[in-house]
Amino acid sequence: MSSDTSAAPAPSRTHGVPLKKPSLIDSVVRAWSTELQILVGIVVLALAFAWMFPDSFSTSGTMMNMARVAGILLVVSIGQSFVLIVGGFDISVGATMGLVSIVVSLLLVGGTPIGAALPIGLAVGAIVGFVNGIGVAFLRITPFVMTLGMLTFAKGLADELGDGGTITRLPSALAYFGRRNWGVLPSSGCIAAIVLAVAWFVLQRCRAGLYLFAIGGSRETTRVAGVRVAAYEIIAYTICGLLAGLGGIMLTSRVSVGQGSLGQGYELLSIATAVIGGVAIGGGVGRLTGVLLGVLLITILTTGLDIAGVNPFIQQMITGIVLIIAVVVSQAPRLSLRGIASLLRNPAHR
Amino acid sequence: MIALTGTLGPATSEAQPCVLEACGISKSFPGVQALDAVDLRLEAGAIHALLGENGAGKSTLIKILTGIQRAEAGHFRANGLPVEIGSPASAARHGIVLVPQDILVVPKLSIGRNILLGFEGGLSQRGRLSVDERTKIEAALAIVGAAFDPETPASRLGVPHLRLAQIARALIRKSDVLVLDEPTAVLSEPDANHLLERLEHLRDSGNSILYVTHRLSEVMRLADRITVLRDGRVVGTYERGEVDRAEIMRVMAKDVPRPAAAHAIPAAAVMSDAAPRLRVENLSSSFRFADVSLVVRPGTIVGIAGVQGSGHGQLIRAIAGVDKADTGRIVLDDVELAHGAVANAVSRGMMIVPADRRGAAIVAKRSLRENLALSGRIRHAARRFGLRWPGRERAMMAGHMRTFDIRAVSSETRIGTLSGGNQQKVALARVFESNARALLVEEPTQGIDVRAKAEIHALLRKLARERDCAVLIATSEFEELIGLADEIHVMRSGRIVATMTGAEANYHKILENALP
Repeated sequence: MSSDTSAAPAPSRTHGVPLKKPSLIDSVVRAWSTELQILVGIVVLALAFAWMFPDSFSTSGTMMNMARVAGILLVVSIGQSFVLIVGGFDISVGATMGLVSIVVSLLLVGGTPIGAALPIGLAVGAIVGFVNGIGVAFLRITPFVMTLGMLTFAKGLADELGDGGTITRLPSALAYFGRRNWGVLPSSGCIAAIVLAVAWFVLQRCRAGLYLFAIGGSRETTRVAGVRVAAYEIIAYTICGLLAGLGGIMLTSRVSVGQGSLGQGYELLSIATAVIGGVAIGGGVGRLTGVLLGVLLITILTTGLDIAGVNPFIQQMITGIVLIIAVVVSQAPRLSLRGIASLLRNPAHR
Repeated sequence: MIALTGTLGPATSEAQPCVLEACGISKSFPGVQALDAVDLRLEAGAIHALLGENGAGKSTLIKILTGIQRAEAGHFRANGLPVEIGSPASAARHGIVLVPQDILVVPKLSIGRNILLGFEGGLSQRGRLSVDERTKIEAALAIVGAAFDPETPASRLGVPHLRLAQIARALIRKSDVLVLDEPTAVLSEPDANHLLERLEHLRDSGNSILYVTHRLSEVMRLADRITVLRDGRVVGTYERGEVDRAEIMRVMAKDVPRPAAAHAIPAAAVMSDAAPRLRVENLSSSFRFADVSLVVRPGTIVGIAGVQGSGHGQLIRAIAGVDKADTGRIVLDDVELAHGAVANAVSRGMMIVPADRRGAAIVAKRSLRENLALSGRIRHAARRFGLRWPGRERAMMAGHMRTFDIRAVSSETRIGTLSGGNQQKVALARVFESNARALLVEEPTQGIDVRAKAEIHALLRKLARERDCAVLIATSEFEELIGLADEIHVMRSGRIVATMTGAEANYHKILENALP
């Protein structure tokens, strides 16, 4: 095996670095391997569910419902990705969603017009994120402790404001932010699409995006390069809080009820989808396309299992297993698409 | 006497089996043949130097010898018997021990605990060392000539001591073959000398030592046998005295002509009387350096030479605002800069390329392009409407890759996969791109091969002469300042003790002032 490689004329190697340009297919597969892997997972799952439940899974109603569920999760996961990219994480997003849900519901029930209540709700989310950012960036509290403290505080505050209960009789206009459709498209999916576009723009086209990735990759390098590191960390946490607040409003709209425990589970689900999508815990690496596909994968999985009548506890177990499998697959080159692709191209090479 | 050297001569007796023999070792990575049928014979009581430029295959070879990677072809013999080396554990069984280049310690444990880490027998206590353990460690420390107590916390020891402790750690095990990867890379001259003496002792007591290094002077002094690798092949094996420095340089270097740039710009004595660009006045920082004053004019290169621990690195980081100084003034273009305000200093045009390349000079996980763009002072063309334009950034990076001869597949390659020399060129490209008014460089060519070293020096010269930048270099490799710097300050124990012009400087003059 090695004898024929060494007998072949030496490839253009200078200084030990392969300077030969890899083929287009090779470089595409290489660059997008995480996304392609999830895409395969999504297709397999979708086909399996469609085959098993042709009457209930592959209907427009189910699709619409999935778009609503996925939209909310995507908004929260994008926020989470900002914080993950910068090298932290935020476990207070679920509590923030609940707090914003209660605040917005109270304002609306109290007669505040929706045009004022929603911005206030978003501001509450942003403030929660900002405080997280101050704690992590300036006071240098570890993200886990800081956001755990914030989680507990926000949950307590939400229950105090809402008397631990639910708030109903919300105005019907709120339904346009998560439950009802914009034209024919589900509003939740549309909002998520807008958020996705803006987030992509910030990460790819603004200097802030470059700095966020760089801080996650090496905080010291970025500081020495003259970037005000703490400010950008605070920005990341603020964006995360803001988007958690938006997710909270969308979820309130979807269930038509304000409740402090509404966002429970989103903290871990948002981290899980981002990690499945290739965002590295520890920071510096990640793409929104991966996050989007991660959200779709989880949504199809849970929807399918719902239709199959699998109980929620077992669903949780399956989600956990999928998370671990996804991360293992993305790290094991032989199991991954890239490994398979290189085997197909040149079986003798490996 | 003559008879004696005859029997001791390492390679004279072919019949005598070597401690470790590797035959026909090959290894390839996608796109690169890292090793191509390499043979290596290591004998007892001999120091074997392994030389080669970066990327020649040295590190792959030592990884295979120590079981970290598996060879694709080839076999090993230990003391004449065929052996299998497939894992670090099996390498250790045959007495092959690696002393890695990086020094890793658990700072909170004592140095004795660190030395023993992983080899404690059964019920060892976490805290103090038992009498047995202590004796064992002290014996190993005595062999390497370290005088510190095993109970000293690791965090209190400096790099030279930690390096000795690291070798002591290797000696605690069965260690017939010691593989040392650049042991003197971060050591100052006297510390390196001490280490080399110790290696000679080890050799004389029968250990076989494989020594990987860039420093030719050490090799000429130390090695009984020299193997030179180039592009994954053995291009020469020499006995002591068979070869001289110039010949080794010639064999190591590739056939491609060296870039003319290295000598294109003469190190003219441009001690211009232009107004100073950077002025440092009475800068002090407790326990690190005191009362430092210096001036750097535009278009000139000023060097600060010092051995490890003399404070030259800390000084340059304090000037850049990366660390805080206590008292004194830093003036750039007649504007006084606040201490410890690196963002402010950069926005005024003073940039630093620190010594800790992976930790503080580049973002290893990101692409070349992003590493280039990581600067607030990037040219306006790449930042229309304050936004990033990936196409323009790519074009910019491609331009620098051409002019600086940066070897990478594309501007989207992760910079962490490149060699140290190429990484340093990207860090310097960022400085060019930012139109820096003053550049501070700490250990500009640490861990970089001979050829890239010359290219880095040429870049620094170009930056000063063509871009009218004020360049300040802090280094512990004195020879690189000669012919490069227009003015050299020598630092010792935190103070500048001598200043000379580039023309009157020579290696010995710097050394005699630098040694404490």
